[in-house]
Amino acid sequence: MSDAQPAGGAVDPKLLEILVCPVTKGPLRYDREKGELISERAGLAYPIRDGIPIMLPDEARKLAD
Amino acid sequence: MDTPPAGLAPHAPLPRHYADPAQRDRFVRGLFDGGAASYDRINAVFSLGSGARYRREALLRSGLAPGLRLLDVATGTGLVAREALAVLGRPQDVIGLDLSIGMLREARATLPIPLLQARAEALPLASESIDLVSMGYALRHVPDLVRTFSEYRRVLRPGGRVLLLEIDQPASPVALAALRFYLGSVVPVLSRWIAGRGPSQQMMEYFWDTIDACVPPKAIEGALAEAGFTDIGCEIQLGIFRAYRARRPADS
Repeated sequence: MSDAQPAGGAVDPKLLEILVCPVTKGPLRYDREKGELISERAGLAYPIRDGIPIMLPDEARKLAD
Repeated sequence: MDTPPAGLAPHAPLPRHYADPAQRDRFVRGLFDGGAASYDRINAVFSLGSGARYRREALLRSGLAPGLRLLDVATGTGLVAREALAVLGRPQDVIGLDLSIGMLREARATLPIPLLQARAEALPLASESIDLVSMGYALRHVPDLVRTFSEYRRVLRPGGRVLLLEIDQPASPVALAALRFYLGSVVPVLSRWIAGRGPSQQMMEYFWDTIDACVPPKAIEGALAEAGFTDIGCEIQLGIFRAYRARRPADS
């Protein structure tokens, strides 16, 4: 069980289905290894901490630079 | 991007608490992070929000029933979400959202529901994914009511409902004076006694100042209408506890 635990903690799968980027309202890609939710269009990776998605642009990692 | 609607701040800036309006956001986040640990203790003593039964009945009267999915915005320590979970049964059907990570950690300690850190006015949820949006005693802390309500409307399925619980100023001047004394003076001092000087006392002082400065109920109902809600109504108990209800039109 601990082997399957994704980085940042487990996120409810039903929640993942309806999560979108708060900036673009577009889809997110879930990176289990990094524990991040990636919005390609916004260029942001939202962290997951203790199983809580942190859906704030000012706390997100900027992509591609 | 399209131009945002005119907008409505829930209250004028409060220079007693933050020097510059631009600092409000950071101030409010810090306030809730700092006060989170003692919030439930203070709330239990003063029955702010008039108790669990009131919250559960308010949810039931908004049509909450098993099988539906609820988003509780500004879930805080989970006082409204806990009652929603008691109605719905399945933890996955209650989503708790807050801007304060301190509050979310408190909620996490006692509630098995999925939690999100996000802003009420920039919800990270798909359109038409929610049956009921609830928000308890937090209207005063968003930057803009119309923008916030527009987001609620977006995430609600057509026909979905919103429930806003608030403390408002009573119409009677005598009741207002009594409430002003109780919430403005008695509660902050006793909060200090319960939880020590510091963040919780400051949090209770700030709560009262925002209630005192809040736009009138008609303006809140007007903001709901501007955001596209219909069937807007408000129930009042004990002169100060208000439950605003509205519906996203079924054909929208």
